[in-house]
Amino acid sequence: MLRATMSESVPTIRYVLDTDTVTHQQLGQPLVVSQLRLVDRSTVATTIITLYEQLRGRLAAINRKQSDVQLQLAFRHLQATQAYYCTARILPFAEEATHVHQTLLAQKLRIGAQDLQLAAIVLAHNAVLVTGQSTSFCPSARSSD
Amino acid sequence: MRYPVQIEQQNGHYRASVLTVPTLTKTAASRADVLRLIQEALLEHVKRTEIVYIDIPTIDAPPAGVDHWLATAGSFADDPTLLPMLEEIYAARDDE
Repeated sequence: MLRATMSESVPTIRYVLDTDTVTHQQLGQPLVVSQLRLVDRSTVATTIITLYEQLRGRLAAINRKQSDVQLQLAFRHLQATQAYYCTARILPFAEEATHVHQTLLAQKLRIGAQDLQLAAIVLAHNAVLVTGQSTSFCPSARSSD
Repeated sequence: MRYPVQIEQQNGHYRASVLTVPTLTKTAASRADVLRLIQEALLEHVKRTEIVYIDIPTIDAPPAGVDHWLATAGSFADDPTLLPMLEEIYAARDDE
């Protein structure tokens, strides 16, 4: 069977923003924004893990017992989150990450499922994870665990 | 194997075309004849063709020309639920 592959025409990812960094970018935290100004932003991405975590958080907020006004706000936040990710570069948990994930699982590391999946995606792209409320785009404690 | 065939009447003739093979058409004076012709043609077509599946990479690139990380910076600045949500996210990670 024919298997065709295409070379990627999109820039190589150097920096992967973890959920905390994305959150601070969303809030407009000056240090995170100033760091973003200094780098080639076409090489910056987040992961499907962060998308999953934020959507899960938004859905949980909708499912809480609350007033109509709060529910309206929760739905508005969900929709804004959906719109936000439409223009973000999001690294998938794809084939290569799955292979790395299997390797990490075999090492029986004491790391949570989400952290392990995130690590697999970052390692698959040979990129730097920007996390831990770091103010510079360099590896932090969590990424080097 | 079953193929969907469209039969049209045109100026007293019957025209048959295979919907999934747009280039394959036959014309005859009767419905029975056009069905026979299209079946024969389709059989020959199937003998010399194959269907393959090809892989293409997942496109994870955003729309071109959008500087997402600066354009959306602060877009949730008025959302008081975001930091508590972040705390919940990391608590969930630590619980795993």
